[in-house]
Amino acid sequence: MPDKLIAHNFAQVRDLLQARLERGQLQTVSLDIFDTLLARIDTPEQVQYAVCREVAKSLARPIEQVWQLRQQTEQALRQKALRDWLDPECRFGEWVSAWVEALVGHADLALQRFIITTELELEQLALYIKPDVLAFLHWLAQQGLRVLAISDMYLERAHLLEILRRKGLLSYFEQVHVSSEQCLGKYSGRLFASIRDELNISPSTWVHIGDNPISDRRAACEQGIQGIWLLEKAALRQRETQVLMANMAKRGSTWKGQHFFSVLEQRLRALEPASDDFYYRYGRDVLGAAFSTFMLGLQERLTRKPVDKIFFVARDGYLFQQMYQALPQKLPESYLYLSRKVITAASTADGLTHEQAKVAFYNPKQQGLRSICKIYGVPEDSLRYLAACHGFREMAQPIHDWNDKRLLDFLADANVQALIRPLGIEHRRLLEAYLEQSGFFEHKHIALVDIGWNGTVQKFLKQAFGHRADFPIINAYYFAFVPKLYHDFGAQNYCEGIIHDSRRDNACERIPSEFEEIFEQGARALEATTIAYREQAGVVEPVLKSPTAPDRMAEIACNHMVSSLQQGILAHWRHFQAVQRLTGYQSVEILPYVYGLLERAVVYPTREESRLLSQLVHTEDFGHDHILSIGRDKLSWQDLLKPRQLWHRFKVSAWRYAWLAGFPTNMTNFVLRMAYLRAVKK
Amino acid sequence: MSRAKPSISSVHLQITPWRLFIYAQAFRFSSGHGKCFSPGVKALMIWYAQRFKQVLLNRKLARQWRMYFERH
Repeated sequence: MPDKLIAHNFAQVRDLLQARLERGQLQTVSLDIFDTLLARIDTPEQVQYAVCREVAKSLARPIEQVWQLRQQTEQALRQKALRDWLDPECRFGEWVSAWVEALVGHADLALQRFIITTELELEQLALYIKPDVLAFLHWLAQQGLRVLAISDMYLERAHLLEILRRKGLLSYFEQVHVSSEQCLGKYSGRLFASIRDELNISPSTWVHIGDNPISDRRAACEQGIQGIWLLEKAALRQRETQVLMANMAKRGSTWKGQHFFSVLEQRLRALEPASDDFYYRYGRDVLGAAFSTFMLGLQERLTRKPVDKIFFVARDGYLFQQMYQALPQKLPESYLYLSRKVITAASTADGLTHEQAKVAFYNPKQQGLRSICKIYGVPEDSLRYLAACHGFREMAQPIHDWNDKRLLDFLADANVQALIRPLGIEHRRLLEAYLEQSGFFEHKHIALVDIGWNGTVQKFLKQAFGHRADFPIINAYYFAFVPKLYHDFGAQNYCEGIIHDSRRDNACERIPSEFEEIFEQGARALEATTIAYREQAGVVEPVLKSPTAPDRMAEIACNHMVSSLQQGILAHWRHFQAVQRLTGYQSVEILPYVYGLLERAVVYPTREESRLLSQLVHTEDFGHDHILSIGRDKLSWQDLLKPRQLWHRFKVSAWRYAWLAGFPTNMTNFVLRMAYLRAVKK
Repeated sequence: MSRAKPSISSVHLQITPWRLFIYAQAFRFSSGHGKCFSPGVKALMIWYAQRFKQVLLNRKLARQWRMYFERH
């Protein structure tokens, strides 16, 4: 009987084989496939359950019933093999045939093909080549040995060949043998004996390697073949954790998200190269989870409430469009060059109301009438004289009292309105022409997709063009929807925040609002914001902000960081889709965990996150040239002497928790978080 | 509560259930809405009991502990 050999990695296997090669005792090497060459990101049961989910969906049957029938038909076939004095194995083709009969009561070749294709597709999604395997197989190929793949598996040889081919491993093997072919398994030794007789191999020159101590070592050794047990403890722990995670996921709450992202983490680790780029990693590990869950929620809503076309709104809809285009099945979609600036400018066609004027003052850096002019596209010089007549000495003087008598009189002045109205009419004409050209009015029911927050674009579109008979029914889906400015969006103008909707009044989901800027930066297009439209040769085209504008220059300097963030997000999204198909989780099931993930990133940032994200600058599309620093301000001990002032700075800071990243413990963040949650308006 | 470690090149999508539980307490002690991403005390106990069982079954680690106790 050969020695009891254990190897803990492929390097040790190689050393053992090298020694036999040198002694001239090695001509054939066989390898187990699953968990030896290929590992899984989830348990085999989860993959099989995912197949049942898709079958149940296609037949509109309860998944548990489909699962039970699968188990029953499998057991029946294995029992039959035992009665025929074979090992308890079954062929997948026969199994699927019996399963389909049990499901629909008759043979259905199309359904059989669907099941087999789905099983193979999902296996492909779940499997990955273990580290060091390729190098080991390459070394084996150079030794001029006969290399076989042997597996105890219900899939048939043709299926295994397909799996190995798609993974790029097939060329390393002379032959592939599987227990389901003759209903002979490795564990009984009968598959080894059958291969030995078929290929006329001398057992003393044959080494078999696999992860199962019974099937791959003991049974092989009993046949005179040198079996090597590949005992990789990390892989073993990983499989145990997978089982534990899958069991805990049945408890709901955050556990489904925990399970989902543990599977996704394994897949990303196995299939994506490691990166030293912080921004790529932040996109992949933090923003990717939030945006991918948003996209999943969007898909679910579009399935429930179908629309004729989707419009992704510039600039933050850019990333969502990229993500949507990566989906296998999609609706017609388009990108709209819109901004709050062009929308609000068009809204003054009927004059500037007090409600509209107030919008200019939400910016902490507002400059009174100058802000109004910038937002509504009115030349400042044309209003300077009239402003002076109403008591405004400086156009740039901030207006903190929004009911300032001077402002009310200024807006009530017919001369002011006579100057503003024609400009608004021209802005609206160009915007309407652009929307017509983009097919906005061609569909009865459309979806608008944007990052959020107040729904300004949606509100003003309805306000400006809602009177048209062909104005579509709009379903607007936002990453986060916080309608602080407006409440009434008009009839047939539906809006929802998928990740955060302040109307749901859930404190935990408010986390994107705690650091809006990072989500906007992560999603924005690299090009400039739209500031107007112009007509050229009968075509209306957007006019983008000048590259020499101070805020645009700062944006351009940050573009490489934003680009890295987005590459990371898109990498996350690619694998997210695969894991979602495997687990079948809905967005609502993984959202609690995503909130936790965002809570960690926003409220408890690492020093590295605080330092490097602070290098990003934020601009807004409301006509100003301001740059908002999203970085951390320096906190000194002297600040503690002025607690009221410090608290105010905390409250208006873009990312208040980054201030505390220099502290050695998260306790300070925890205390601030509690204080802020108590203080903030619910 | 120690600060999260700086990210390294590997993928990090996992937050320990314990950490999530602690984060959720900030809501519980302020607004009262803490259940959103709290894994739940009972589930947390089960999780750590299972993990502990795994650690006990991990003979290599048990050997390390035995050596540790023998040395000290």
